[in-house]
Amino acid sequence: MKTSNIYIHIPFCRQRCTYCNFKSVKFNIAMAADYVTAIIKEIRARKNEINGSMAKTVYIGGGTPSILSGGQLTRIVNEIKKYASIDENTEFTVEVNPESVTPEKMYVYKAMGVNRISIGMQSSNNNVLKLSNRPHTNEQFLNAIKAIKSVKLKNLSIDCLIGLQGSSKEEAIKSVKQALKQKPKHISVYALNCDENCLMYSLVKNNKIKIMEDDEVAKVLEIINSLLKRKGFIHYEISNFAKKGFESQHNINYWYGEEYIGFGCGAVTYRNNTRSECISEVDEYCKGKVKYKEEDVNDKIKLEEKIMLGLRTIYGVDLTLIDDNKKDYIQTLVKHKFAIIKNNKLILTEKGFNLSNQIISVLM
Amino acid sequence: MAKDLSLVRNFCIVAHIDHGKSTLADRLLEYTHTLEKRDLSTQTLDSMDLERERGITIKLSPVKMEYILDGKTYTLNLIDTPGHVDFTYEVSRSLKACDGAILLIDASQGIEAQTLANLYLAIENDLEILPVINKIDLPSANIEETKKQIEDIIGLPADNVPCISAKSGINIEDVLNSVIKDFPHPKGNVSAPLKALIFDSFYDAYKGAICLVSIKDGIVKVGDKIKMFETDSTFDVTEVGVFKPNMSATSELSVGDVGYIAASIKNVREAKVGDTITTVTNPCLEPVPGYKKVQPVVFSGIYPVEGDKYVDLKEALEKLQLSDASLVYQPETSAALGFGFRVGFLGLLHMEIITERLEREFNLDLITTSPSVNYLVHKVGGDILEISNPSNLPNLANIEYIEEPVVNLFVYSPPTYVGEIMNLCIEKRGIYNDLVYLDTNRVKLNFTMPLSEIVFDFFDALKSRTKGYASLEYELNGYIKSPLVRVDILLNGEQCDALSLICHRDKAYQKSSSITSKLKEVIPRQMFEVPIQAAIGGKIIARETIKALRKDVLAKCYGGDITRKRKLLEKQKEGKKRMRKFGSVEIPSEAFTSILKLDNN
Repeated sequence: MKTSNIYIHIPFCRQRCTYCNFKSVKFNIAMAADYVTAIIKEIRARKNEINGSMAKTVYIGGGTPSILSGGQLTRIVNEIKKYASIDENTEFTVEVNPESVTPEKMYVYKAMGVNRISIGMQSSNNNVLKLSNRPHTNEQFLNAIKAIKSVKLKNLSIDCLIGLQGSSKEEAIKSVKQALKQKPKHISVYALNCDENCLMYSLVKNNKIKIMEDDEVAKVLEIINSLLKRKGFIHYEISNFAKKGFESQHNINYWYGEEYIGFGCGAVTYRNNTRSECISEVDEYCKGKVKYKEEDVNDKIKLEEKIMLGLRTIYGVDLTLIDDNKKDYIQTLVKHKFAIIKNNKLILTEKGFNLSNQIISVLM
Repeated sequence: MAKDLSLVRNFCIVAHIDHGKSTLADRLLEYTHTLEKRDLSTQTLDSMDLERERGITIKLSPVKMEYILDGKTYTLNLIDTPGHVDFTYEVSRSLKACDGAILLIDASQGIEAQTLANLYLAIENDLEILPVINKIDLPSANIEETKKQIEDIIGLPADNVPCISAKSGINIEDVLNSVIKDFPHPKGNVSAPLKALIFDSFYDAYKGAICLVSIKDGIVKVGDKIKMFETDSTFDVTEVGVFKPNMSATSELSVGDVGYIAASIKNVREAKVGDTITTVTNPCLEPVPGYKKVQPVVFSGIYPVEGDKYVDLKEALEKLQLSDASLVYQPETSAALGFGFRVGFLGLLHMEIITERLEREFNLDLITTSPSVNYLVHKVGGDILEISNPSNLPNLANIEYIEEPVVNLFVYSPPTYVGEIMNLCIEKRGIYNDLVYLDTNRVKLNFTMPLSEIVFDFFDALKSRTKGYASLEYELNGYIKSPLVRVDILLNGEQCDALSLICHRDKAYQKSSSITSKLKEVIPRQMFEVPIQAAIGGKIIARETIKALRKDVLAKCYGGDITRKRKLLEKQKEGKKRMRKFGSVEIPSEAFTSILKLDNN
């Protein structure tokens, strides 16, 4: 039986975080209802992409998937289940935000087959949360954790964001420590990228607000990395840490360059050497106008991506894939402990991860 | 047909940048119906894009106009002049083709340094001066004050000077009338042997080098066998003509005319500016006096940013040399920059113009190394070495002494600024020779000064310290022995040859520390710490450190991000291609150029 990796995108948020560069719109009930109908239509229209497959992973991301009602999410998942099998071996993740988590929703998720929750904590400091326009407080986060724990899911992942406005080294470490206290199996630690599509970009650029300096972020990351390591987490990708056996299968699938099927506005699909992105605006999508932008992933791109993605993980990249004239450079990397070579694979070290753009842009 | 020289006027316009020279030239073309208004692309006479953008004239375009006054048809030849000190010699040659000069002054700005520099050149060439006050319709125009300046600074009566607006076309006829009334007509003898002054030349892909000439005596026509005085080479004339303002062939050029001669001359080097053309069969006895061989004074290494573009650069230089006789170059190599050329220039502006033309017209990305003058190195044992590339300087132990070129510098200024000029010239290692009062309003100071001090920022410094009133002139005047040292720049402990420079021992420390701190600014942080050191003969005299880069990472990279992140990294990879790798240090090409600009800070 062929397997599939399925992504479902829910583009609604209660409000937009200042650093966010994802496609998302402000939640409204009517539009959300239309969206659910539209995405079911899209799944139906593209059913042969998943038909008869065993879902290895399902990931419902956003936006804020938990903003939809349990019933709405169930309808979408039921449509998927018509074509693809989901069982207890399927890694089934839903991304949630603290303000929209309720015990009831968690029961519904569990009933749907969800076995992994990824929650956006970002910071444990209410002031930092507020400055970034996060829609929740730390108390709401702690309550959400209680609700999640009450249904005893296999895997919990907590997101932390380092370098936010108003944050400091101490604050960031405190946040990660609070995350650890919830005993998650998985933690994602993201260094803030001030992307030009985000709300705070011009503010930061014009020095209207201050975010943490890159050097400081690097220092904080080092401390957090070693803290997490001490607590038994494996730093298996630049921004991701997991207890052994709890690595995100869905994401590893991306990093291995495998195929994936995405549904929803802004979702990306990669199959048959083509990557296609649904580029409709949310309101268009809701009216059934679905536009895709396709990219031909040729051998050259495939190789570049293999190098780029491989070097972002501790699984590394096969040395045979890298051009021979990079030998000297690789030797320098190893000599200065930016990388190691193991089983004929080039693997970046912690130090190398922090400078991965520099390294990848030379090697790819 | 006998020619009446009294109906001819040959003149030029001298002005400070922005005072409206090109606009006035356009207006004259329009009022003499040489061109109709609709045909005037703004500022017709500045033909190169670069000139139009910078508002300066590099190439001289003469234009023939006709104007009727009191029932007589006059021929007016307007000869354009470049306006920068780098091109002083070219200006002096084109002034030799004129009998009068319009001194154009911006009514809101008054007389400025450059106006004066060219004005004095005009006066020295015995030209009649006609002051014209421009931009009188600007709110900030101060006509009375400008008139007073004309009387006080130049010493000319200003009561009847034309007050115009070239832009709005006010009182343009006044200018034309005054040109005819005030300027003398050219003199010469139509039956004397041909004597034609080449005041400029350019290269035409079909006709070869074209000589722009002012006919001082005689006649030239198609088929004549002509001879260049300086090079002694001979050619058959294939075309003569005038500019109206486009090239337009005529049957002959005779005394008093300003126009062009084409004679299948392969290279502009054969048509030297300042040389005299005569005929082989009936040569004139004396050339027009004042010819000088144009010599480059500043040398710089030019390298392609991408090493594999060397051949393209070579071809571009070959092509450019066809049209720019003052451009000289020879191949050189640098450990840091690979294969390139050492190129000689008339000055820094010339250097900028050439590099910009190479980049723009030939689509090249270039790295330019620190400009240098030509040094004479006296080696132990008596050998003399001529070097213009600092990295060719031999070991200190092998050097007896070094000589550097000096110039005889004349600074003209109102007496008020004598103190400032003295200070500046002494700072720049000048040796004071003489001060003469030319009249109550003008002094002439004479210094002997190292050429290297002049070519960099002297002109700008002089201008700013004298509020624009001083002007300068200089000529090469041999070599003097100087305590010069080579400052080497070491990146991560390795010497980077392209960044070496020669300077006076007393200035080495200050220069070294400004270079190292500038480099720290422009070289991006790398994956490891990079020390930047300046050294003289192995002894470190300045140091800065570029701290190691600690974070350059994209956080999220999931299914929807892959394409975008890949593109970001591809862009970063492209950026790296523009960096020069030196040892393990990556240097952006701007780093080399940034050092050029140090003096201006």
